[in-house]
Amino acid sequence: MKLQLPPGISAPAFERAMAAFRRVVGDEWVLDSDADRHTYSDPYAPGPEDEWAPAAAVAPASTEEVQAIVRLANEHRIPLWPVSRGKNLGYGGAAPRLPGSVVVDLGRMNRILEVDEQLGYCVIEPGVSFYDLQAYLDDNKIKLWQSVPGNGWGSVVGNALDRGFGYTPYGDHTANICGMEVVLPDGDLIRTGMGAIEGSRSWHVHKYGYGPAWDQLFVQSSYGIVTRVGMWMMPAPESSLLLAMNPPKGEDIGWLVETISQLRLRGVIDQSPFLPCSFGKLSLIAQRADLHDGPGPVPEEKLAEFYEKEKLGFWIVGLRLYGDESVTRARAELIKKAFARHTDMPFHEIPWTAGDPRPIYDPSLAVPTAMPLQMSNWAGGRGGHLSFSPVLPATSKDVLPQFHRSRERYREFGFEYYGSFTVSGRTATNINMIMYNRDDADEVRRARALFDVLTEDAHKAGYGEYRAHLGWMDKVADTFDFNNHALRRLGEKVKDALDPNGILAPGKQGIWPSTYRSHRHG
Amino acid sequence: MAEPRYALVFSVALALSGLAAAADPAASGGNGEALFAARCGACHFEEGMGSNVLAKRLGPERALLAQRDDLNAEYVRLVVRRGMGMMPFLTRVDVPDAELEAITGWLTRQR
Ligand SMILES: Cc1cc2nc3c(=O)[nH]c(=O)nc-3n(C[C@H](O)[C@H](O)[C@H](O)COP(=O)(O)OP(=O)(O)OC[C@H]3O[C@@H](n4cnc5c(N)ncnc54)[C@H](O)[C@@H]3O)c2cc1C
Ligand code: HEC
Repeated sequence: MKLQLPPGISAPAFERAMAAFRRVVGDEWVLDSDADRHTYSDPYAPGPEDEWAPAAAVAPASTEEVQAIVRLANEHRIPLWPVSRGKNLGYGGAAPRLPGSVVVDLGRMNRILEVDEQLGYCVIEPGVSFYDLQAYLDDNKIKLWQSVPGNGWGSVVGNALDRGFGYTPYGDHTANICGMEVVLPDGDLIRTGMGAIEGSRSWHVHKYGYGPAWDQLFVQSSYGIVTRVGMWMMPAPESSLLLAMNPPKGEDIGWLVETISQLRLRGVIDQSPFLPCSFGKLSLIAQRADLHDGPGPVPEEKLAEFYEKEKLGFWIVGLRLYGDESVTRARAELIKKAFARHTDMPFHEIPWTAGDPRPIYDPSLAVPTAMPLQMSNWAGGRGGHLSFSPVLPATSKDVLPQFHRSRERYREFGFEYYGSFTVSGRTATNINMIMYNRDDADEVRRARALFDVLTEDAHKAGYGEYRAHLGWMDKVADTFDFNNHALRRLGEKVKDALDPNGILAPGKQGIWPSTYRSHRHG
Repeated sequence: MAEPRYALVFSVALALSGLAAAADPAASGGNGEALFAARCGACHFEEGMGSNVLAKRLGPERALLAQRDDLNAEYVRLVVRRGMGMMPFLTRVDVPDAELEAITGWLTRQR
C-alpha cells in the first residue's frame, strides 16, 4: 500500500517523525514499508484497502515507550491510532479512522502481570491475546475462566475497550474492567480508581475509587492509550448444563427475548444468551455457491428446505447454566416451566462436568476460538463482514418490528438475513451480520447501502448502535442527536481540552478534535 | 453436539503446550513447530477455520498445514504477509520475520 501522509504533513516532516519514533522503539519496530502498511489495513475492507489508510505502524514495548511516542506525536503533529492486537474484524481491523494516521500497535506489550485466583481477576497488558491468557491459566492450573468473543484471535483488552462481549456470565467484557493505567494525549500517565493511590492494594477489586470514576471514559474513546487493565474473571464452574432448542418461526423471537429477559432479571440465567438465526450455522458449514448458482441471495424456499433437512428451526437457542449441579438442575426446571408457556418443544439437555473437554465451537465454555471467522467465507472470494448492531429494549414490541424490517431490507439489497439477539436482562443487542465478497464490487456497494439504510431505519425507530465500523463511526454518531448533538459537543470539548493538537485517534466514534474537524464524514 | 475431533498428529496436550509458547516467546526460541502452534494454530489445527477452508478447497488430505509436504517457503511467506481468501494478513508484530523463517522452515521440512 502506497504511503498516504497525514493531513498537512509533508513527506520530509513525516520522515523526521518516523526517525524520531525509531530512536524510541528501535528500527525494527517502526513498520513503514508498503508491505507493512498493507498488513495494518482492514482485512475485510468494504471497498479499497486505502480508504482508511495507515501511514505506518509503531510498536512500543513498554509504557515509557508509549509515553515517548505520544510526546513525539505532539511535537511532530502526527495522528496516532492505538490498537491492542488490532484484530477488530468486522469493525475495521487495525486500520485508523483518519487516513494517514500511524497505528500504535501494542501487540508487543503482552505481559500477564498478575492473576489472582482467590479474588478472580487478572492484570494484563494490551497485547495479551485470548489464547495467551488461556495458555497461562492452563499452564498454571488456575481455576478461573475468561470470557471469549467469537473472534478469539484478538486481545482481551482491545475487545473490552470496544465493548465486546462473550457468552458466559462474564460476557459483558467492558463491565469486567476494574482499574486501568492510561497514557494521556500529552504523555502524562494516570491510574484510575483505587490505583490512584501510590502502592494501592485494592486497584483491581473496587471499580469506582474516590470522586468521579474514569474507566469508561477510556472505552470507545480517544482520550488516552490504555497500557494496563485489571479484568475480573469467573471462578471455574464445577459443572454446566446447556439447554438447546430450535424454535421454528421467525416470530418466535418475540416471546424468546421476553422470556429470557425475565429469567435473566430474576437471576435464573446469568449469562446473556446469544440467539442467532439458523443461517448462522449454515454460513459456517457452507458457501452460497453450494446451495445456489443464480445471482443474488439463496431463495427463501431453498433455505427453508435446507433447515428442514438439517432439522434446524428458525432460531438457535442455547441457554447455558454454570455452577453446582444441584443449582443448575433447579434453574433448568424454572426455565423449562417458563418456556412451556410458549412451546411444547422439549429442550435438548447437554451436561458438562469439570474435566470434560471444552470444544472450540462453543464459546460459552470459554475456550478461545477463531472458528466463527469462517462465516465470512459464505460469499466466496476475499470474504468480508460488517456487523450492524443496534441496542433494543428486551420486549417483543421492540424486537419483532426490528426483526421484520431488517429481514426485508436484507432481501431488498440482495443478502440472506443473518440477525441475532443477545439478551442481557433489559436489553436485546441485535447483531446483524452482512457477509460480502470483497472482489465483487456490486456486492460491496449493496452491503454498504444496506448498512446505511439499517442505520437510518433503526434511528427512526429510536435505536442506536453499541459499536461501529470505521466507515460508519460518523453516521452512527449522527444518530445520537438529542439537543443538536449535545453529547458529541461535550465529547469534542473534552477532546480539545485533553488533546489540543488532536493527535490521538481523531474521529474515533465520531469525536473529532478541532484540528481535524473538517474530516468529519470525510 | 459431537465430541471435538482432534488431529492425529496434534493431541490436545500438544496443542495447548504449543499455544503456551505464545505467552513466553523466549521458551519458543527458534522452534518452528512451537511457533507454528502459537502463531498459526488458532486457525490451522484440526477444526480451525483455516483447516476447514483448505479442506474444502484442496481436499481433506491437504487441510492440515502441519502434515503437508508440498508447501514452498516463498508461498508461505507471501500468504502470511498478504493474506489469502479468508486468511487475514499477519503483521511483523504478530509474527516477526525471524519467527516466520522458523515457521516456513518447519512447514517445508518434508520437501
Ligand atoms: C465472525 C466474527 C465474530 C466476532 N465475534 C465477536 C464476539 O462474539 N464478540 C465481540 O466482542 N466481537 C466479536 N467480533 C468482533 C471483533 O473481531 C472482536 O471484538 C475482536 O476481539 C477485536 O479485536 P482486538 O481484540 O484485537 O481489538 P483491537 O482491534 O485491538 O481494539 C479495538 C479498538 O479499540 C481501541 N483500542 C484498542 N486498544 C486500545 C488501547 N490500548 N488504548 C486505547 N484504545 C484502544 C481502538 O480504537 C481499536 O480499534 C467478531 C468478528 C467477526 C468477524
Ligand atoms: C485467522 C485465521 C488464520 C491464521 C491466524 C493463519 N491462517 Fe493461514 N489460512 C487461513 C485460511 C482461512 C486459509 C485458507 C485461505 C483460502 O483457501 O482461501 C489459510 C491458508 C494458508 C495457506 C495456504 C495453503 C495452500 O495450500 O494454499 C498457508 C501457506 C497459510 N495459511 C499459512 C499460515 C501461517 C504460516 C500462519 C501463521 C504464521 C497462518 N497461516 C495463520 C487462516 C489463518
